[in-house]
Amino acid sequence: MSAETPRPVVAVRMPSAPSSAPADVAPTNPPAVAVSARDVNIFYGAKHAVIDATLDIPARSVTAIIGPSGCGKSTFLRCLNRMHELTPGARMTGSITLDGENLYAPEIDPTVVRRRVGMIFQKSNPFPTLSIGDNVTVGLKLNGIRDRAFLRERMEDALRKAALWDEVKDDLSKPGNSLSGGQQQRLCIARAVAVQPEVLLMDEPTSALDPIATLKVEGLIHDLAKNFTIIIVTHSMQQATRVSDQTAFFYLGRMVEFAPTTELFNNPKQKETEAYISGRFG
Amino acid sequence: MTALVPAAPAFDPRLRVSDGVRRWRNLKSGLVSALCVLGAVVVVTPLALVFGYLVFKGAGSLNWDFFTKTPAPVGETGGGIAHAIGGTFLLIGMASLVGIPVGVLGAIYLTEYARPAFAARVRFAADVLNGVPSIVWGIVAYGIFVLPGGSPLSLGKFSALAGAATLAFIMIPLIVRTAEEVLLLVPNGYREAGLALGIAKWKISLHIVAKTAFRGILTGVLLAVARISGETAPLLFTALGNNDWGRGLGEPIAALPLQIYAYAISPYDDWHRQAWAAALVLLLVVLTMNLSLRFLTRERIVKVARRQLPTDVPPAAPVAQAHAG
Repeated sequence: MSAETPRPVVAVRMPSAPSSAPADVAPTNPPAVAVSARDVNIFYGAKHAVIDATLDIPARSVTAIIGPSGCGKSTFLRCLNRMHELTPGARMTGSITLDGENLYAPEIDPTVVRRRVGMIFQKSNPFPTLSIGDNVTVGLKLNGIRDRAFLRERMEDALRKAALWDEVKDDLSKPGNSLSGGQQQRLCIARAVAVQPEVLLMDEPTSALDPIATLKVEGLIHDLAKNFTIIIVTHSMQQATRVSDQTAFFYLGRMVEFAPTTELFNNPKQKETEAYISGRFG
Repeated sequence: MTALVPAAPAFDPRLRVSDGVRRWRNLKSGLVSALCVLGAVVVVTPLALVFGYLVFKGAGSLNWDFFTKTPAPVGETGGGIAHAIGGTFLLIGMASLVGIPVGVLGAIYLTEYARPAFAARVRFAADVLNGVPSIVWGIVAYGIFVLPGGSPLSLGKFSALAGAATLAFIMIPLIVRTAEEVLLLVPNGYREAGLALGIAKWKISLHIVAKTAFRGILTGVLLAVARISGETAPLLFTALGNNDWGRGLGEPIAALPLQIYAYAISPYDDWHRQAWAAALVLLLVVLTMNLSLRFLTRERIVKVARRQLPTDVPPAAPVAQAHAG
């Protein structure tokens, strides 16, 4: 993708500390925008879940979406790979583009969108009937790839990227759900990585994990940002500060503020943001 | 006795249970346990009784001829029911060929694709069909498949095809309902995970959802096969029965239930003995099919269960291991 695309970038500057990019990236050379949402409105029947969300998410970085329960953050995330369409009665207006391509154009197949925009869920869900190895390659196999050497290579690569290879390399034929909770979640990450998407959406990926497994997955998120654009919904503000380069704050269906993570947490511009991050809410 | 009560910092004496109350509770607990055991025994007893009685009455008539020969002429002893065993397998085979795919795919359609309102109607229809007495299936099938001019599908005569078609119709709603129940048990997370990988929905339905529910679907299929194996009334009106090998699918064909019926109502002692033996064979056929299919699909599952054990029992251990390395 061309890094020089002159796209408007809203309040984005690579923060120095947690970024995987070189720390001395000049603010005058903003990173390319991977996902761009314009005036996104999402309805569930009569419920207006997301209101006029406009957001430019830079490529190869980690973007956190925070906000209280029911603020529309997960809904917004799910419409980035058209998963919200599975919910009966869900409707969306506005536009979402990936590398300038409209994901909601009539000729675009949602299946293809999801191949480019992968997703990790709150509850790890490796397929119980498949082995660890097959869990990683299932996305490729069911999309018609038969070349065994290639599949093997992709499997190892994905498991290494998910920091799981060393733990499972001798157990690849064991069932996917024989792993521990944290390993299962990393297996799901490997499974998503194996189809080589451009964007990885994570919907509270660590909320079911113990603190040690959480740290492991967080470290992994940081490494994955070298290759993927990561958008993570999290309940934990601490997690947002630990893993993300920029953070969006959603409240009551609106995107209230979007800024580099350090800026948003140290110097919030909106009073709702300040109230939320300082724990004075309601 | 008090050792059973956890040592709380400040135990409220009002929570103390008197010995009398405790004895009463133990009695109730024992009573309920005993009822459960009794229930289990009552479930198993008929199977043992049926099997035992059939062995007692029928085993004596089992011999090599019984499995390889067709019936001897009336008045002669000996002969066998090879034609009925063959006919039963043929009828079950043909009915399964149609009934299993239609039933399973129908269930997949209902759980994965259909609108809930439509699925509810089909479910209701299937429930009604499952409650239709087999004699009713028989007479309707007679009208549709056998009665000359009864319908465009009628062959105008009793035939193996008519029998198999009727059995298939009995199978379909049975399989639809059981398969649907187990498909609904597959967590939605697997469907979402598959979709999020950009896999086409039909592939997820077949390769992931149906595969996850495979054991349950198999159980439903086996139940349906067992059920049609023993159906007599619908076959009386369609396959009719035959005292020899049938001459083709368009001709009447023998089946074990029909043979048992024909022999049992006959006036000959030798045929009565053969009816008992045929009933034993029918039970063994169903039992063998059931056990062998379960055996064929068992190994994989046992392996899975054994592998799961170390992580399932102490969940903390593997986590610690994972982060030690």
